[in-house]
Amino acid sequence: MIPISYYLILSTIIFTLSIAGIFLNRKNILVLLMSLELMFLSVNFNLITLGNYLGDLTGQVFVFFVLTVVAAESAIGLALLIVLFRNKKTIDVDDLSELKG
Amino acid sequence: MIELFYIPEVILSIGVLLIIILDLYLQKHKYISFSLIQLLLVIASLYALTEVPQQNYSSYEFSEFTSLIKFLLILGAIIIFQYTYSHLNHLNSLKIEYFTISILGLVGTMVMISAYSLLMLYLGIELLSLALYALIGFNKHSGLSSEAAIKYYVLGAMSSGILLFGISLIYGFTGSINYFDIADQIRNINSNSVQYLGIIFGIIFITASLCFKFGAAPFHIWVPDIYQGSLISTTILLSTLPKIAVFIVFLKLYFIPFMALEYVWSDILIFIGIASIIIGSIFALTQENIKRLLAYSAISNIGFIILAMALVSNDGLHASLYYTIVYSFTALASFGVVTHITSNSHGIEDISDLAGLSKTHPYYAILILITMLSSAGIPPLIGFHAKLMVIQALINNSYILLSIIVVLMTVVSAYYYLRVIKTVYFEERENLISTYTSSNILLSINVILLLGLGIFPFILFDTTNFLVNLLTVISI
Repeated sequence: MIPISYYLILSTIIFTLSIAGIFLNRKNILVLLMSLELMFLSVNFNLITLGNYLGDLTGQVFVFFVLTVVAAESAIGLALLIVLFRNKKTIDVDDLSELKG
Repeated sequence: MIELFYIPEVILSIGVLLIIILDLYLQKHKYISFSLIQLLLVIASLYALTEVPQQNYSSYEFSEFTSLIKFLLILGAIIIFQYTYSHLNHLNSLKIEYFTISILGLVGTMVMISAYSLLMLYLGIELLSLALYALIGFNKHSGLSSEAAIKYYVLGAMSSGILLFGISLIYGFTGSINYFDIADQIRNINSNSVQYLGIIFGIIFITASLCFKFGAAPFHIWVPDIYQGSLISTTILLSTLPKIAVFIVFLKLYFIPFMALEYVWSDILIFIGIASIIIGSIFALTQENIKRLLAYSAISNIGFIILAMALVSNDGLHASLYYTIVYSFTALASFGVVTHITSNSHGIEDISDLAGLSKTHPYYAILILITMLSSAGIPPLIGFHAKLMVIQALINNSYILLSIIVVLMTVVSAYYYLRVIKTVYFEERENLISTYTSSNILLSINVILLLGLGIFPFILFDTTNFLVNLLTVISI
C-alpha cells in the first residue's frame, strides 16, 4: 500500500513544474497552454487520490466537472491564439508587449 | 421541481439561447434583439426579487441576501448594456453576441453568489471567466485586444488552477465541499495536526486565486493591460459585475467555512488591502491612458474593500459592503461618461483627448467633474462617505497606523483625479470631440445619484445595514 503522502507529493511536484513552466517559458504560447493543462491534471490527480482515500465519491465527480470545464477553456484559449496569430503573425511570448505603461 | 424554473439564472440562460436563435432572423434590426435582451433582464430582475428564500439548501443558496444582490447585479447589467449599445453602434462593432455572452457571464456571477459548495463556486467562477475571455478578445481585428485576451486567458486559467488546487486540499483535509460541513470540521480542528497545515495551505491558495480575480495588489499585473486592451464597454463590465460577485464570494467563503481560522486569513487580507491601496494610488500618478488610470483607481478601491472586510467586525463588514456599492456606482458613472464621448471617430484613449471638453460640451464636463470628485472623496459626494466609513472602521478596531497610511494615500490619489479635471477645464486643444445623445438620461441619473446619495447618505446606509443584517443571519 503506497501511503497517501506520496500521491500528494507527486501532484505537488507536477503542480510546481507547471507553474514554473508558465513563468520560465519565454518562447511560445502553445507551451504555456500545455503547462496549464498539466496544472489541471495535477489537480485532478489530487482530487481523485484524496477522494479515494476518504472513501467519498465527491472528489471523483468533481474531476468530471473539472475535465469538461477545462476542455471548454482550452477551446477558447486556442481560438484566442488563432485570433492573436492573425493579428500579429507571431505567437512568441516576447512579442506580447504592446500593452504597457 | 417546477420551482427550478423560477430562479433568474434559468430564465436568463434559456432566454439567451432563444435570443441567439431569434437574432439569426433579425440581422437587419439589431435594436429588436437588443430590446428583447433588456426585456429579458428586467423580467429576470423581477424574478430575482420575488425569489422564495429557502431554509435548507445543500449546495445552492436561496436567501433574501442573495436575491437582493442578484437584483443589484441585473440592474447593473441593464445600465451597462444601455451605455454600451450606442458606443458599439458608433464603432460599427455592434453584435448581439456581445450582449448574449455578457449575460452568460452575468449568470456566472449569480452562480458565484448563490454557491454554497466549492464545486458550485468553481463552476460560477469559470462561467464568468469563459465569458470574459471572449468579451476581452471581442475586437478581433485589433492586436491590442487579442493580446489583452491571451494575457487574461493565461493568467486567468492559471489562477483557476490555483483555486482548484486549494479546493482539492480543503476537500481532502476536511472531507467535504459543502460550506457548512467545512465550517464544522474547521471549528473542531487540532492546531498541531497535519490536517490543520493542509487546510491553511488550501486557504492560502484560494485567497491568492480570488485576489487575482478581484485584481488586488500582488496579483494586479493583469488589470491595467486588460482594461487598456479591451473595448471600453468590456472595461465597464469588468470593473463592476465581477468585482461585486467576487466580493460576495469573499464574504461567504471567509465568514462561513473559514470563520474559525479568522486569525490566519485576516492578517493576509489586511496586507493585501493596504498593498492594493498603496500600489493603486502611486502607479496611477504617471498614467496617460484614461483606461489605465481608471484601472489603477479600481485597484486602490478594491484595496479599501478588502481592508474593511479583513477587520472581521460588524462595522468593517458594513463599510466594505457600502464601499462596494458606492464603487460600482462610481465606476458605472466614470466609465459611462467615457463611453459617451468620442474623439476623431474612435473612443477616448488618452487623458489629453479630453482637453477642451468644457468649452465644447460643458454638460459632459460637469459629469466628469462630479464623478472624479466623488472618486477622490470630496465631502458632499458619495465617495467621501464610503472612504470615511472605512477609515472609521479602521480606527474603531485600533489600526491607527493603517488609517494614517490610508488617509495619506487618499491625498495622493486626489492628485490624479484632479489632473483629469484640470485637463477638462483648463487645457485647450484643437480636436474633434463629439458625443452621442441617445441615452444620456440614464447617465445623468447615475451621476446625480452620486451627488444626491452623498447629501442624503442615510438612504444607502440603511440599505447596506439591512444587507449586513441579512448576512449575519446567514453566517451564524
